[in-house]
Amino acid sequence: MDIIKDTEIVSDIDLNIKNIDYAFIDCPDIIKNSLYLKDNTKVYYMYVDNLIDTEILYRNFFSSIILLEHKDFANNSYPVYYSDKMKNINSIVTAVLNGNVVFIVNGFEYALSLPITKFDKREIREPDVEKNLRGSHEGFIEPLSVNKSILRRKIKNSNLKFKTCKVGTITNQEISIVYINGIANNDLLNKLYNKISAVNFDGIIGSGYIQQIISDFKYSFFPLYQATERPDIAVAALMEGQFVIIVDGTPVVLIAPVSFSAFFQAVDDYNTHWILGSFTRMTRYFGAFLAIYLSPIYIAMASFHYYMVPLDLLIPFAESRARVPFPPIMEALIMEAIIEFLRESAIRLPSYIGITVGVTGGIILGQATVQAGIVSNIFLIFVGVTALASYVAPSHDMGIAIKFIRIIFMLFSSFFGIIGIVFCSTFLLAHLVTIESLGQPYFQPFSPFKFNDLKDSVIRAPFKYLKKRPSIAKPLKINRGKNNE
Amino acid sequence: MNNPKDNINSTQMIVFILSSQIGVGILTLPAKLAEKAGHDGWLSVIISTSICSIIITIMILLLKRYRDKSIIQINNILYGKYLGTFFNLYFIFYFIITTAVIFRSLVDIIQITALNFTPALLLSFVIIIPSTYLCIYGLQPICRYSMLIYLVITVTLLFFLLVANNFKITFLMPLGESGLFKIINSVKSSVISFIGFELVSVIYPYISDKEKILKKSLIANFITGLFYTSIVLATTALFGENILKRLVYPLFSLSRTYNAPIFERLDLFYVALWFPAMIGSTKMYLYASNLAIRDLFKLQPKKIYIFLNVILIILLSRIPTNFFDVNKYSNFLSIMSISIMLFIVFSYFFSFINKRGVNKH
Repeated sequence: MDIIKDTEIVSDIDLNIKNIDYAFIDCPDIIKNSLYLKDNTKVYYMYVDNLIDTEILYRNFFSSIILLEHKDFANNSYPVYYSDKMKNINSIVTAVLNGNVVFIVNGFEYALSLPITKFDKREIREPDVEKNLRGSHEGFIEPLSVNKSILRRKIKNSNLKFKTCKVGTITNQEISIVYINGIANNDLLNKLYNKISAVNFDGIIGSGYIQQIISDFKYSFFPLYQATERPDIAVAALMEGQFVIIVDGTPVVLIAPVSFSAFFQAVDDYNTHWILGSFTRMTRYFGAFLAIYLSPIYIAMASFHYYMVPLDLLIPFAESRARVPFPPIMEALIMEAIIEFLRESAIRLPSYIGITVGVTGGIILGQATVQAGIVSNIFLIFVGVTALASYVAPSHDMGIAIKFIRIIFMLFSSFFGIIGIVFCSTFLLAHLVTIESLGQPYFQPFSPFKFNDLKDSVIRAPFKYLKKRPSIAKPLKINRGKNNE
Repeated sequence: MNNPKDNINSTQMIVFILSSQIGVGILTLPAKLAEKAGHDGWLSVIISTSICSIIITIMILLLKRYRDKSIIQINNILYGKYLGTFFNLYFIFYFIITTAVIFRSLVDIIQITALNFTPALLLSFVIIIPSTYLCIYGLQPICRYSMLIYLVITVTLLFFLLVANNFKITFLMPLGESGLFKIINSVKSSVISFIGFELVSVIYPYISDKEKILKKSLIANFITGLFYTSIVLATTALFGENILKRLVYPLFSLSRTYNAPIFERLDLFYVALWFPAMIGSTKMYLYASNLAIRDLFKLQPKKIYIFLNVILIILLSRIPTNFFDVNKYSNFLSIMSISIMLFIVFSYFFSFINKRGVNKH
C-alpha cells in the first residue's frame, strides 16, 4: 500500500480516474467503468470481480443510480444507503479490496461505496480432523465474518464481544479476539490484545503463526494455545472466560489460556453420561502415558534391566530378541521411522491411495521386518500399541508433541536405562510446571493444585458439581448460571 | 529479586519444606537408627520432630522481628558488616556443601541401584539438568514441581499396606528397651534427616502471606515427622533391628520384599519414583545457595551464576573417593547443620541485645 501515493480526491473526475487507474495498475480483476446520471453527470465505479454480488449490483446499484441527478448527491438524498464519504485514494483502494462497489461522481471531492460483498466460500461442514459423535457437526470456515456469525448464532447475547485488530503488513488481515464481557478477565484481554497488536509479520497464513509468535516460551513444543476448528469447543471456552482468537483466512481458531488437560478433552465427554465421559477421558490419559513410556521401557529392559521382565515372559522375550542383530534402540528407531513415513504419506495422499499405503506399510512391512529378523516380535506389539495410543489425544498438536517426547525418551533410555526414563520424566515435569499459557500455569490443576478444577480434568464430574468455572482464565464470575455473586 | 515468579504463598512453602526435608537422608536413616538405638529408633524420630519444631518456631520468630529480610541480610544488621559477612559466608558454604553431599549421595544411589558402570561425572552432569532448569525459572516452578512429594508420600504409605501382613509387632517390643541414653544419643542422627527447614530463612522475603508462615511450617515439619516415623516403624517391624543394621537403603529393601504378580520387580518402579523426589532436595539447596550468594553480593539474577554454582557443586561432589568418604563428609555436614541451627537460635536471643533494625509493632 505504501507504493501508492496518498492523493486527495478532487472535483475533476478525469484527474481522479487517472489516479485510481494508477493505483490499480496491473490488476485485471478490478472492474472499472463509467456511467452517466440522468443529467449526464459522469460517474466512475469500480469493484473486484467475483468479490461482490453481481445480482445486487445490477438490481440495486445500477437501477437506482441512473435515476439520480447531480443535485441529489449535493443534497445527500439517495434511495439506498451508501457508506461514509471517502476523501482519498487509499481509502478507496481499501474499500474496493474489501468487496465494496466504490464510485465517484463528477464534481464531488469524495467517493461513496455500497457494501455488497459476496464471494465463493466453502460450505460449513464438520472438520475432518476433529470429528465427534454427538456434538454439532459444524466447523469454522475461512472468512472471518462467517465465523463471527457462527459464534453469534450460538451465543445470542450482546455480551459476546469481538475485539479487532489488523495484522500482516502486506496481507492486511483482520484478527478478532472473541470474549464474553463480564466473564473474561480484562487484564488477560489487554495482555492478549497487546501481544497480538505487536505482531510484526508480513502475512499470517494460518493461526499457527500467531500461536508461535505470541508464545511466551518459544522453546517449548507443547501447544500453549489450543487450536480448534469446532465452534462448539470455542463456545465452551468462551463460557469459561477464555479468549478465542479468529484469524481471517483460516478455519482454525485459537483458544487461550489453556491448560495441559484441555488437550485431552472432547465435546463428547460432556454429551455422554459422566461415568462414560470420565472413562473415555481416562482412556486418553492412559493412552498418552503408554505412548510415551511403552517403547522406552522396552528399550531399557532389553538393553539394561532384563531382570525387570516378568519371568514367564522372559523366554519368549529372549527368543524374539535373539534373532535381531540390532541394539534395541535401532530396532525402535526403524519402526518409528516406518510409522512416521506411513503417517506422513497417508496425510498427503488421496484416500484411495492411502488405503494402499496402509496395507503395504502395515501388513507387508510389519510382517516382513519380523521375518527378516530386523525387529523382534514382541516389540512389534509395543510399536503397534504405541502408534495407536499416540492418536488418542484429540489434539493433533499434542499428539505430535507426545511423539517427539517419546523419541527423546527412547534415546535417553538407550543410554541410561530406566534412569534415563526417570531423568526425562523429571525434566518433562519440570518443563510442564514452568511453561505458561498467557501467563497462567500450564500444568494446573495438577500443580499448582486446584481441587475445583480437578473435577473437569482427568475425570468429568457430573454437571451438578461443575457449577463453578475453571480458574485458568481467572473469570470475573465464578458461578455458572444464575445467582452470580 | 524483581522476578514475579519468585513469589510463593505459604501453602507452597509447605511443599518447599517437605521437598527439601524428604530426600536422601531418610533412605539411610532407619539403618543408622537401628545401629544406635535398636528398635526404638522411631522414638528418636519423634523427639527430633519436636526439637525441630522448637527450632523452626524460634527461627520464624527471629525472621518476624525483621520484616522482609532474609537471614543473610539479618546477619549483616545483627552482627555488623565484617562479622555478618563472615557468618554469611559460612551459611553459603554450608548450603553449597549440603547440595554437594546430597547430590553425591544421589549419584551414588543411582550407581548402586541401576547404573553400575556409567561414569559418575557424566551421570552428574545429566542428573543436575532438571534442577538447574527449575532454578533458572525461579521459586514458583520449583514449588510446583515439588508437589510430586505428595505422590511419593502416598505411594510409600500404600507400599506399607502391601507388605503390612509381614510386619511383626514383636520386633518393636519391648518399648524403650535400649534405654533413654541411647535414644537421646541417636537423636543427633535423626535430626540431620530433618534439615531443609532452615532454607525458609533464605526465601522468607518471597513468601507472600507472612502471618501464616509459622503455622504452615510447623505443619510441614509435622508431616515429615509423621512420614519418617512411619518409615522407621515399618522397616523395623519388617526386618527387625538386626537385619536392619546391615541394610544400606532399608526403604528400597522393603519395596523389594513385595512380589507383585506378573510385574515381578515392582520395586524398581518405586525406586524410580524416588529419584525425582531426591533431585527435589538438591534443587532446593541449589536455589537457596544461589539466592544467598545473590543477597550477599547484591547481584542481579543471572543464569551464569546458577551455571557456575552447578559446576562448583558437581566438582565438589566428586571430591570424596568412595562410599565411606561420603559418610565422613556427611558427618562433617551434620556438625555444620547443627551449628547452623544453634546459630539461628543464638541470633534470636542476640537480637534482643542488639536491637538495631528490629521491626517494632
